[in-house]
Parts: sequence; structure tokens; C-alpha cells
Amino acid sequence: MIQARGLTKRYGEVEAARSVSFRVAPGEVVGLLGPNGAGKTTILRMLAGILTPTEGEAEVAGHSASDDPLALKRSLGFLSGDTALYQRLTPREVLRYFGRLNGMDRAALDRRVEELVRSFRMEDFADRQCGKLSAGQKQRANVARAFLHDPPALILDEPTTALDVVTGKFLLDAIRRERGRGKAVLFSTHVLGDAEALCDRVVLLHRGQVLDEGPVPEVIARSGAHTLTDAFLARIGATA
Amino acid sequence: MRPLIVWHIFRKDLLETLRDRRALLTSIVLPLVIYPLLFTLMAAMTKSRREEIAAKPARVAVWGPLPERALSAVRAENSTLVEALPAVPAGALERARKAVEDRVVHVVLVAPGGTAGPSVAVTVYADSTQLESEAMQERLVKALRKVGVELLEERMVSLGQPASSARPLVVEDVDLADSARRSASIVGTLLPYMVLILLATAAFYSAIDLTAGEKERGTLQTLLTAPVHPLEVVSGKYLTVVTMTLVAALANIGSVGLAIGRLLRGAGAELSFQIGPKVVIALFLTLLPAALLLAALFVAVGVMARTYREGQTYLMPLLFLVILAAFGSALPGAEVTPALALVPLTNVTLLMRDLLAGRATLALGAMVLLSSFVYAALGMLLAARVFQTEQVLLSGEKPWREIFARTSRRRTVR
Repeated sequence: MIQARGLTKRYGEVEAARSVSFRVAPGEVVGLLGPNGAGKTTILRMLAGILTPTEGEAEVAGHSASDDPLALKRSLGFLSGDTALYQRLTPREVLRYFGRLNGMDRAALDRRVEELVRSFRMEDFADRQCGKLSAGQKQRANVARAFLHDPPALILDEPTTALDVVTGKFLLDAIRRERGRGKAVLFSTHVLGDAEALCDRVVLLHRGQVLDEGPVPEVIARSGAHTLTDAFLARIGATA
Repeated sequence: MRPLIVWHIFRKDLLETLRDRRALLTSIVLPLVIYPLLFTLMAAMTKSRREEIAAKPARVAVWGPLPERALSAVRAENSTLVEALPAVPAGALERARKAVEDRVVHVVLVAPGGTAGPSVAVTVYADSTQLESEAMQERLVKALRKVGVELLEERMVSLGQPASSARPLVVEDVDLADSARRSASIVGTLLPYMVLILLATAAFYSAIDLTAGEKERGTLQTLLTAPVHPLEVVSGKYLTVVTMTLVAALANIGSVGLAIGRLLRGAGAELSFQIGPKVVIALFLTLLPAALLLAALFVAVGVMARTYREGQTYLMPLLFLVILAAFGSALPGAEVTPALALVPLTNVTLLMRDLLAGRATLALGAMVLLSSFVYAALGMLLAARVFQTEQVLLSGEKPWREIFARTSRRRTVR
């Protein structure tokens, strides 16, 4: 569903990603883990079709980023720390706007917006300007935006960072529900506890390269550690 | 490019811009209040100052003997003789300068030669940097010249000649321009200059907010994750900036126009100013390509910045260039020529000036419009190219190298 094939990104002499390959199957949550500067955001941006790879190919739901970037974006819900909401629009207006950009017809869009407002418990603030919302309320609205057009694949870059425990749990539950509905979810985080609890598989990334990949127990076992955090530190320490 | 997507982006950007109370206040509401207030105050102050000076007695010093007729004429001009010396004191120039600078007197009349001869030389000292001193000098010089002519007429009569022979050449100057044209000339000097600057200011703020501002707030990347082409994004933003620019400019023009009209009436110079609907349409047509060009340039440059503040830094030199270009219309005697018709923005202000003065020609007007639309199209191409450069949209580092690299080497957002 989501596939990275030899993704490489160079900025002059700097190589932000080097021949990164992995795939996320439908109904699977894969965690992309790595320290700051590992190249996570670059890889996610290439997969989302907003950054052109120097080499390699990104593909979502059979749509290639180089051949049909708009079809790829229609198949994808993308959320990151850099994707903010419009401060002077309300969450309901933001959802309607992105629904229109995704080509949803009016009746379907109205139904979907109300459904998301209810399921994301946004009734109290759906008509308040985003600039006046709390961090947690903004993140709920932002996740709703990413889920709006019901895409088969989701890419979530550090979605739980800076969230309180309640909103963080709410979000992780929402991701589990989407997995249950057969969505492919690529999830990057610093919170390894979240990754351990949520991800079916993880991809460990360091200095733009994949260090290890596989189900969480296998990655832990291969490193000889007892937790994902120890495994992660061991792999990074081994190459640092 | 899909027009419906451009429309959605335009509608959203416009709604967001209209909800920005601070920007609306700065670009539309404040000028609507400030200009009439400023011009009304200026008119009132100018009128009252002029009346005050006219009613005020001139404080005069007379050094040296002055004919009685001349002294009477000075007194008749609502003057008070503060000092009268029978002879010119030593260091007269320095003393006169000090007396006027210290505001002891407005003017000093110096007559060094005595009254016995056929001709009496009188020097009227004043300080042109002091409004009152200069006005009193003008008033007294006029009165003394009149006395001179009267004395000459009396001499001619005493010689058996008609009084008119004292004035062998009678010169009269008549202004062929009626009050409407005189007003149009004044308005034509002020208005285009102000309009272009107001146009640029309006484009400046909305362009920064919709480009660098969106980048800083993280919403540009949100938009790029949606299935939209960068060309659709730039088109929507561009239309918003053009709309805001024209709305703000029209509001400002109306405000400035009314204020200038009030100023002309307040000046009491029997000036009036009216323009017909054809000229209004022509003025709008002239403004349109200027708004298109400014919006394109500001959007293209604004998006290269990473933050709102950086956007202001990038756009400020551009704003200065616009002010410089606009200054062309404020130069005395400037009008559209075939060469100037090709100078971007200056051509627009000059054409507006000619339109207001009623001397615009179809050929030169068409040249100005054509060249301006070509510049606007080039500006739009630049903006489109900038928006297709991912390095610029996502970070803003090394923008020029990326933008102007050969297409084969350039990374583009799709």
C-alpha cells in the first residue's frame, strides 16, 4: 500500500536519505523510528509527494509520486508537526475546504464532516477559530483533516508530540481503529513506548539509512535487548 | 490547472484575509479615516494660517531716510514701525539678519542713499525660511513698487506727458486653464503617486501573509499535502492578493480623492475637481495591470521568505523601487512619451496623470496598457516558477539558485 523503493535525497553534499526501502501493507501500522536528523521527515515528505527524491520511487495505493502525484495525494492522509491549521478558520471550515480540494461532493462532504465532528468529539469547538483552540483540540481537528477523505493510507509524523495524555491516547485509539478498517499506517515518533504499543513492525532509521526492520519482538531480539528503547539505543550506539 | 480548485483556494484565502482584523484595519479602514482627517486638518490649518498672516500687522524696521510717500505706503499696509533710524547703521546686513531671526521685526527696509536724488534705492530684508517674514516682504515690496510707479506717473505729468507714458509696456498674464483643469493638474500630480504607493502597500501585506506568513504558520505544507498542483495554489493566492490590492486601493483612492477635493475647496483658490465616468473607467483599467504586476512580484518574492519578518525584509527593497517608480509622476512637467510608456509602473502613474489632466492620447495609453500587461504576465510566470520550486516552498534556502537553475536540474513540486 505504501512503498519506498531506494529513496534517496541529496541537498548538495548532504545526504538526508540514502536508498531507503520498506513497505506498509493494508491493515498494518509501521513505525518509522530514529533520532532527530535521521531523515524521517524527508522520507515521509517524499512518500507524501511533496518532495522529489533524488533517486528512487515513492508509491501509495499503486500511484507513483513521479507519475501521478495528485492521485497519490488523494490516496493519502498526511499529518505532521509542520502541517498546521488555518488560525482564522474554524475546524468545520478547514474540513470543508480540504474536502473540496479532495473533490468530495457537497452532500458526502457534509455527512463526513458531521461524522468526524462527532467521532473526534469536536462539537464544542468545531465552530471556533483554530487560533483560539488548545493544542489538543487543534490536533484532533488536524487528525480529522487527515482522515477526512477516508484515504487507504495514512502517514503520521510525530502525531503525539506535545499532546497531553488524554489526547495522545485518543489519537492512538483512532489509529488502531483505522488499522482495523484495513488502512496502511506509517507512523513516526520519538515516543518509543507508543511505537511498541501500537506498531506491528518498525523501521529503525539513522543518518538517512535503514538500520533494521521487522516486527517489534524480532527487532528487540536481534539487538539482544529487552525493550524497543534499548534495542534502538543499541543499534544507534553500534553505528554512532 | 483546474479552475474549480483555484476558486476554492481563492475563496478560502480571501475569507481568511478578511478575518484578519489587524490587516483590514491597516490597509482599508485606517486610510479611510486618516486621509480625510489629515487633509481636512491641513486645509483648515493652511486657510487659518493664511488669514492669520493677512490680518497680522507687519513689524518693520526702517534704516536710513525713506521718502514720506513710501513710509505712508508701508504704514498703510497694516505695518507697525518698530524702529526708525535716520541713517543706516554699521554692519546693516548682520544686524538685519539678527533682528529678523530673533523675530524682533518681520522685515528691515534699508535706504542708504538719502531722498535728494532722482532715484531712491530701498532694500527689503526678510528671511524666506520664516513664513511671516516672507509674506510681509512680498506685501511691502508690492506696495513700494506701486508707489514707485505713482511717482513716475506724477513726474511724467509734470513734464507734460500723459501718466500712461510711465508704463510704456503694460503686461498682463492670463491663465487659459479653467479652475477644473488647474485642479486636475494639482490632483494629477498628487493622486497617481499616492495611488501607486497605496496599491503597493496593500499588495505588500496580503502577499506576505499568504506566502511567508503561511509558511511560518505551517499551513502551506498542509495545503501541499492535498491533491493540488502548486500552480493552482499560486493562482489562488495571486487572485486573493490582486483582489485585496484592488479593494484596498479603490477604498484608498476614494478616500484620498475626497480628501484632496476638500483640500482644494478649503484652499479657497476657487478650484474645483470633477472627473467623468469614462476617465474613472480608464483610471481603473490603468490600475489593473499595475495591481497584477505588483501582486505577482510580491507573491513571488514573499514565498522565498521563511517567516513573516523575513518576508518584510525581502519585500522592502521592492517597495522602495515602487516608490521610486511612482515618483516619476510627481516630477514637474512629466508626461507619457513613447520611451516612458515602456517603464514599468512609472508609465502607469504618468498615464493616470495625463488622464486626470485630460491630455491622454489613445496611442500612448494603449502602449502603456500593453506593456504593463506584458510585465504583469512576466511577473506571473516568475511567481509560478517560484511556486514550483520545492526548495523554496518547503524551506526557502538558496532560492535564487534553485529558481533560475536550468529546468533539467531544477527540482519541482508536482
